[in-house]
Amino acid sequence: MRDVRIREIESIACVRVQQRRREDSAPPAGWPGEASLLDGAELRVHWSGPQDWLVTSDSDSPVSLLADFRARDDLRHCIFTDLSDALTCYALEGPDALRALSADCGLDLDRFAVRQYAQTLLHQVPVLITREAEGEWRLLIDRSLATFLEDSLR
Amino acid sequence: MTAPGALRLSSGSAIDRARPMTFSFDGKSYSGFAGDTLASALLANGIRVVGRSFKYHRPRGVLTAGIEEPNALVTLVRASGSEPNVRATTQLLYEGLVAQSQNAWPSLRFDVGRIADALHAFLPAGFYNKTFMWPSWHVFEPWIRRAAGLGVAPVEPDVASYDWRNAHCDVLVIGGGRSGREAARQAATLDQRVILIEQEGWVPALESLDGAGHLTTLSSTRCIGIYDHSVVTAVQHVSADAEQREHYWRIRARRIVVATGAIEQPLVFSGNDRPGIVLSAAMRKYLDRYGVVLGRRVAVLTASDEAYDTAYALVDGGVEVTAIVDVRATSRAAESAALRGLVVHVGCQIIGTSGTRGVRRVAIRLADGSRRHIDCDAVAMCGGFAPALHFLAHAGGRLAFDEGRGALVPNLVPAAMEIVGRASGRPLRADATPDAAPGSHHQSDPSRAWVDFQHDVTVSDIELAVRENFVSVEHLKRYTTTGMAPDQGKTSNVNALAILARSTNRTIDATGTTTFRPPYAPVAFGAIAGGRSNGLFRPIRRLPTHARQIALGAVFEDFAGWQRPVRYPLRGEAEVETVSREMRAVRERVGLFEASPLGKILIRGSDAAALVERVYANSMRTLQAGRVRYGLMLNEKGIVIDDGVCARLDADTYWVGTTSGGADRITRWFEEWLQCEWTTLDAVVTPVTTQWATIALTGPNARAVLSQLAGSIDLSPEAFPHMHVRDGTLLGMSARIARVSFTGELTYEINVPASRATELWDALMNAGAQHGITPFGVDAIDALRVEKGYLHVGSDTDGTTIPADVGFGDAVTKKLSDFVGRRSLRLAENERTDRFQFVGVQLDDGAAPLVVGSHVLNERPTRVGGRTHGYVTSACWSPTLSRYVGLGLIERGRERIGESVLVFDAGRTFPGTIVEPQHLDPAGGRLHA
Repeated sequence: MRDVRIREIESIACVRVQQRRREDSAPPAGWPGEASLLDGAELRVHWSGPQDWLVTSDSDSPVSLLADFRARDDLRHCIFTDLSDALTCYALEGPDALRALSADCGLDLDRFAVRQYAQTLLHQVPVLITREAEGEWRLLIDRSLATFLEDSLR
Repeated sequence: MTAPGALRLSSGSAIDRARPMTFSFDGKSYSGFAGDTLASALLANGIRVVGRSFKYHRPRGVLTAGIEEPNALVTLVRASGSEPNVRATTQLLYEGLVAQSQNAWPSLRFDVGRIADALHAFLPAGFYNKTFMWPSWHVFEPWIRRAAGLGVAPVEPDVASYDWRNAHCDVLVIGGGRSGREAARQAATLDQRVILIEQEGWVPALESLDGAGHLTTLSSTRCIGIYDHSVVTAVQHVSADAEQREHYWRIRARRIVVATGAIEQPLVFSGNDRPGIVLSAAMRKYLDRYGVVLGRRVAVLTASDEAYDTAYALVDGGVEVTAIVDVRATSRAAESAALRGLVVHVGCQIIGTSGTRGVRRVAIRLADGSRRHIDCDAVAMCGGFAPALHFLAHAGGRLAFDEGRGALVPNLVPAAMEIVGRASGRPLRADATPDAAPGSHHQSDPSRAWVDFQHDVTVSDIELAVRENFVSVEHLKRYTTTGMAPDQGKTSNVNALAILARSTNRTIDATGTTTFRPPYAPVAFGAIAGGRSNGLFRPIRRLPTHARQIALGAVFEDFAGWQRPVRYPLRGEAEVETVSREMRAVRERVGLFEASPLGKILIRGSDAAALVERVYANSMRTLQAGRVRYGLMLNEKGIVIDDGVCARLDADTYWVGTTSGGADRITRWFEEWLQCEWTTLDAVVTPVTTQWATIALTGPNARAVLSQLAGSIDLSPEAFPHMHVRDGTLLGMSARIARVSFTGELTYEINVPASRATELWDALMNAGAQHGITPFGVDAIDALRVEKGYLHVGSDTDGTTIPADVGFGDAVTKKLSDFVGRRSLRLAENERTDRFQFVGVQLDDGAAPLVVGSHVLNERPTRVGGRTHGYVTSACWSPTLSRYVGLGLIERGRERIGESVLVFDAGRTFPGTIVEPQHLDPAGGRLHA
């Protein structure tokens, strides 16, 4: 048996931000143009692809997050979608957490820096994986596949 | 039988004499020690014959001491099932191990199949392709297939546990011998991440690498293959006991060092397969590691200096070496051996061997032409060494034959690979006399000189192939099957090449080599599957209300990756009764359906209307906000690929509904067109299928039930008619409700945030209790839509169906703007008048089952068949109409409405009629209630 603990982190606000294709649109100030380390403590901006970000927050509600975004001038050319109900967030902890993830993930997770993230496949399931700390990981996954992934990791 | 000289010495560094173990072979009990392989334990107990050969059922003994073993394949029997073709030479002994020999009946000692050996003259290579031609190969095929094969494939599930591991490294070293260890050590000192894999489980020298930087050693780990981008797979045996567990490694390496050494090759001579004839390095390994000597009087037959070391080791172990027979004309090693008092014959030819169940005598011809017999009870033979270059070939490298070294050596090595040690073709000693050329030592009867031990291929088989012009090495391989057995020709390929070359008067290099492909050694399917079995075989999506459906006793099935309720049976209810009850509830009262898998895609932006207009075959630009329209999507060929309802939420926002199985596919379809073709459109595609749960409330009482829930949406028919959509709140939660129907009844498709789906479900069930609300599953909704004549893309369409075939021709024709697939609809094929069209089908006897797949004919089929006019695509029992009803694709179906036809199913023919698809409520009165 692996020494790994999996727990669901509830009440994570997840908003997808997609930039419209307009000539006068520019990327939001300070937002990443490629996968990079997360730098915000409260607001995590994950680059999902060109002109596409997934923003998560442990403290804000989706409603307030959307309200904030709509008020921001640098996001005026963006379209927002609340995906808080579509995604499930897991924390994976324990000495065997890395081994559990490496069992069916092709990424070199051992070399991941703290706060580094990636979109990948884990147990055949699309997942956004972030190294939170040594021996601590966070997984964002489609809600409908969450139970499958949880069973696969155990 | 017991070998006369087999014994266990007091030495033997791999075994733990303090831990004796018992095991059984063919029902007899034996003992061994921890650290023994099954082969070493059998040999120590004097078991010389361990199996029967594949084709001729000749008695065979252990030939090697490793993965290359062609003879000693056994079946391991465990309480949980059996495992065939286990190599006794690599299987570690465990307490209670039970092994059985293979390919022998009724017993290993007396095998009826041995008659094939007596008839060998009539059974050359490829005999079955020539002999069994009349009256038909298929008459003989079952018998031949039963006779073929090694071992019996288990039918029980494999209960052993396996798991996968992924690893990354800068340098991967394959092979833990001297060269491999040195390569690993050097890389580790450069602060590189190094993984060293070694197939042996017991390599003390590996311990010297402990603490050498970022170095990981994986023992008992067999490399299986090398693939693109330096991805290497390997299987690690974790435990040898009955709960055998393996790790399947996938290692991504920046650089690969191949240190796999060389594999000793047999000499080819008449009777070289007799039990007791063992490769010389293997004999030394059994002696050094396991303390087992295989005979008291051993003859050494060699084409290489290295067998001399075995002779010395045997002498040191107290074994009499009756003679060393060297096929080379001269050898410095022979001179040294003679000086040590050993009897050495050089420049000899090996004529043959004799012995009933094991070798007893070797006949040779000396350099002066005289014959001599050498008595012995075991033979150590060495035909030279072939560098193990399988992984070089996996990685796309090339091999070439080096005449000087008498071996295939690396010729073209990929940039990210390095070959070191003996795998590079380097001899063990720089001053060694070169090995004799392979495959050239046989005399006398070539039909008794084995090349491929595992597939029973002899020299005469190869010569026959050449006579029949199979002179390409690839043709030879397929004609004789040499090198195609589970051992992949590790001890036969080089000799076969040499004999082919000699028979065709070519050099070995000009003859070429076959291609080595993964796997290097057999792998259990369980290891490849890893944890992906049973419920974890593939990802399964669960509904937001999954737990509630379980509580309701739902029967689940997988649909397009979703686990969905198909029905909710009551106690003692038959399947058809359940579905009929659920259907009646919907038609007469109200039903509740978990429809969350229905695809939901938001299209937003100032060009959203333009995008949607181009993707749908019918017009969506004219759709007004708050309205819903049914639409079809086509591919570039004009073929229907999906359908569903499309709602316009505001001027710049569409809510596209897809089939449950089409959600991801249609999202990608939109994205592909947007990103690759229409790059200037201001539109954004966002799939929200799992953000929103969808629960369909349907039936005459649907409005009455929904009205009981507190909400902000006016549900009156005037304010909220059919094919409209409304946003608002319901029970305090955001809700998007669409009046669309797949049952033909008044229906509200209610979308709420997925996390609150169960809350809504419970509220509707409570509110509907007084109205007889009934949950219903996929089986019922599929039957309800058949009654109503609603199309199901995928069931009622095939890879040729265009909109006009399903009654959508006018809508498409009227559309003036361009859309995907439009041009193809104008092709002559799509304008044919005899196309299959979507219609209804009924049998004249309504109680007779109408079966999906039945063919529609206009005359009874003859013995040679009949011309089909189409087929039934959907069918069900209709409890409302008390008859079976169906849908179908029938040639010119629309103009044949009312025509009598014959419906053919599984040899039976029923009279029937082509009807309108709408079997129920054709005017749609129930729908617009």
